[in-house]
Amino acid sequence: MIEIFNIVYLMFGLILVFASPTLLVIKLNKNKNDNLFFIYSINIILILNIFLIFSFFKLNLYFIFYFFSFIGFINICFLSKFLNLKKNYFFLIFVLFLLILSMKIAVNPRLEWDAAVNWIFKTKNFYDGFNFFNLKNVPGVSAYPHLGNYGWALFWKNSLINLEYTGRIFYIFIYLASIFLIINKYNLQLFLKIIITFITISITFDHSLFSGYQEPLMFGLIIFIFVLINKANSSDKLNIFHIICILNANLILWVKNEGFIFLLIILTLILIKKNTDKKIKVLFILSFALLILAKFSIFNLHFNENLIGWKGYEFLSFERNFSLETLQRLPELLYQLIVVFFKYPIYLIFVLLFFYTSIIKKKERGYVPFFSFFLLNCLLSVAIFYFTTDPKWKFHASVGMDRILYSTSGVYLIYILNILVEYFLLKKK
Amino acid sequence: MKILKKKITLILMLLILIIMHLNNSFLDFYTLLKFGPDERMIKAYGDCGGESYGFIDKIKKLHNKKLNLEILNENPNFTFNNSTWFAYDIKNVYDKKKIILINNATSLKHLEGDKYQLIFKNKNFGYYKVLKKEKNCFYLEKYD
Repeated sequence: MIEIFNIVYLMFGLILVFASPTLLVIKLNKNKNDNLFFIYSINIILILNIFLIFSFFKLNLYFIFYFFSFIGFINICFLSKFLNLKKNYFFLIFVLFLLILSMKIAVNPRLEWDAAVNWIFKTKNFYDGFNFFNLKNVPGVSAYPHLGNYGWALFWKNSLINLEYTGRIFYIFIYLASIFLIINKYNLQLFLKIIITFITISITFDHSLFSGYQEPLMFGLIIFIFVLINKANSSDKLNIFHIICILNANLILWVKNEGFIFLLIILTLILIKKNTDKKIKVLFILSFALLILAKFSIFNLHFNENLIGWKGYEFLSFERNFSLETLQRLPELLYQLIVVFFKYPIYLIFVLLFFYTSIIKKKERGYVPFFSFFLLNCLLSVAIFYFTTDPKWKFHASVGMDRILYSTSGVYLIYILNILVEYFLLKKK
Repeated sequence: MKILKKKITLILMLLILIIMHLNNSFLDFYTLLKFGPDERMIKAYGDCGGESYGFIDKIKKLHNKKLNLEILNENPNFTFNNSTWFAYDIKNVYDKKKIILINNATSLKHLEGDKYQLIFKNKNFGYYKVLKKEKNCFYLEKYD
């Protein structure tokens, strides 16, 4: 019983820690119709950026937890009427799903491959009170970023029982917050929202990825950045949401090395969008370049190492890129891609719906960015394994491509729900 | 109006129960009540076999907590993953006298009495005596 009580305790801990700075977010955002999950998503981005800074210092994890819980509690008390927490039944459904998925992890706490070899040691580093600079002294690959592990360690440390899985509830929280953020923006009946949420979680929750991998966190952050870009672009001028997008981009870089590739795709989409102000485009180019440079410099300076793919990854020489030997990789990589589409049916649903709307219904309605993202995402995911010198490219593709594509799959969820609501259900808010 | 509200609440409760049932939440709840963390860890990682959490945990309780234990656990077919983290503390250094050998009795060559030679992945670790043995799992101490 103590474990279930502990899960509930950590769930409320997460809700409190990420409840601030709601007051500030509401003041910044004049649109009162924004939902609770939108406020939470901004809170998560701001707090995680603070955690990222904290990870470079030796700070007491108990103090951080109780400090943010206290600030969060004050925010909730002051804003309980505005947030309408008592009548926000969808928020209760969020809490319910958080409990359901946390219990799943508790029942089978097994850590999967990379988690048991790399990520757990980074987590233990922070759990034992060390900071970023000590990561070179722990087993595993130093050049992997550590933000997710800091969150994992923080909630593990503040758990009532000393079990590592307790810290992983943090990943479930971010994953669920992103899904609820998308679904809650539609003005649907509560029952319908619950059913859509259940179906969405059923097709996107992969237990093995919650076994210590960073993909659920990346999944959530990529949904946040897409929702924020939409929000920021609703006004022609530079606004606070553009800045929050940049902060979110920073988090994406510090969760996984592939974040660098995701940022390039996102930046391409921002640049090809016609009605975005040139000044905003320049701001994004400069800030993304600065963030990437800062991250690479820090890793180079302290670990003398930087990775884009896995450890030992090197690009093929130019003349070998299109040799017959390398071209023979393509059928295998395309096969792996199709396997991933079936593993994560969100891709299949997206492709089918896109063809339904663009070819059968002949309505494009501004959904081209999603398809561009899909194409770039698939191309780059295949390219990682195509351009490597590693003779084990086939093995890496079979264990890595699904995870890369899972991280970005949340983006298609936005499209799928838009289409479903537009064509089959009710009108958007 | 009250009846309608009650109906809605009832349907909502029913929906929640169905979702929990489809997610095996009741079974998960029962499992958490019935089995402790150690039992679930052994189920996930094995007792002596695979990552062998059970055996390593037993040794960890016997061993000096200020020293990390080196764990030799060969995995030729990638059927399981690393066991090192079960008995690893960042603050500690490795115990130079004691080793855990998992899933690999063939690495131990019996010489005489309680003296064994340990050759793991073609590396000669020297001479050891067995402190504890369970199936294919060994807790070894350097032979003086």
